[in-house]
Amino acid sequence: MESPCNGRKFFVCLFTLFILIGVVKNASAQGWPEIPGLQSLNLGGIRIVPEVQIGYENFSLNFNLPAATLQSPLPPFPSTLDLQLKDANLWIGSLSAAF
Amino acid sequence: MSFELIARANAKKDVNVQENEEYVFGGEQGVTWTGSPFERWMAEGRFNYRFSTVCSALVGLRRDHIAISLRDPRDSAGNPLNFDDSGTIFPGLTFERHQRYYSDLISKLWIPYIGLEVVGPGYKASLIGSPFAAAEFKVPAALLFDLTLTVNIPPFPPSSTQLIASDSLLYRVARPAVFLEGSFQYDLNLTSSLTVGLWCRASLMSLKGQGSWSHDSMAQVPPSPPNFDSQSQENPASYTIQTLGGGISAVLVL
Repeated sequence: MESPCNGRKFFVCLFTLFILIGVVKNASAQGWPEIPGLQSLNLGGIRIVPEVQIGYENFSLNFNLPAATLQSPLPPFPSTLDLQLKDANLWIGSLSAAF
Repeated sequence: MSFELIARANAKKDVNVQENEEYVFGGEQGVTWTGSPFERWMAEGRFNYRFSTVCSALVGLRRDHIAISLRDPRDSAGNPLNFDDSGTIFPGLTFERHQRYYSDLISKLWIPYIGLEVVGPGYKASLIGSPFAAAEFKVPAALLFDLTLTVNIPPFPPSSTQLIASDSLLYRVARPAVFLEGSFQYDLNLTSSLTVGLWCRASLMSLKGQGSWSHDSMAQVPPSPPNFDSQSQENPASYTIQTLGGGISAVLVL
């Protein structure tokens, strides 16, 4: 299991990187150069806007289903299920396209 | 009006799943399983209808899938519940026993939703929700156990007695669930066609309703025939998922 500290470090690094990009963008007089070959992206005349997301996610899951004692010749025992997945920190990626 | 297709997944990772009580015999408190691996993916399609300069209505359908293979259960002291051991009870009487737990965790959600998106200079925020997401969550589990007792007291010939037992359980709930998700993204135009952004997102899915539980067991002392037992119950269940995340994004506006 990762410690929550890793998630905090990730977001501090991310925020710092974003600020740096903003500072460099504002400082450059001519702006960032255009990416060659990406002046149009159409599919049969339909305009496509692709987007990529990368990030870190904290995920928690809880499930509870009580079950009464079993009817058996053995001594009765409970069979309640109470599952918890707490604070799983996961890398996630997302691809999307708007038409 | 625009249409958007979204695919999302997490990197595979081992996680710890806590269980307040071992659910086959209920004897161990605080059992921890290794979920290996945790897998989650989502696929989504949605319409975006802009009805003012800043606001859009969202209508979409999301499929959310979670699968975790639960392995290596351990008690609160860290001792494995799966074991193979043998020993001597007293001279002339030995035992050999094996125990295996298996379990999985499978969640399937179909979420038809509506929502609202607000787009301003350099940012966009959205809130989507559904009172009738279709949720199915199930946990199949099994326990296999065998015990062999051997008596070996010369000059008598050795003799063995074996006990074989298996338990198969299924916990399942399939009910409408409430779903809510909010997201915010701050964008920075690097060029006229490339935008990078910071995003954050929080979501909640909650289900309360009748769940079912079934238990099939078998016990046998060969050469006697096996004894079978089957039971089932329905009881109120609850299932919740919460997420909170953030990251970077890149958009090509062409």
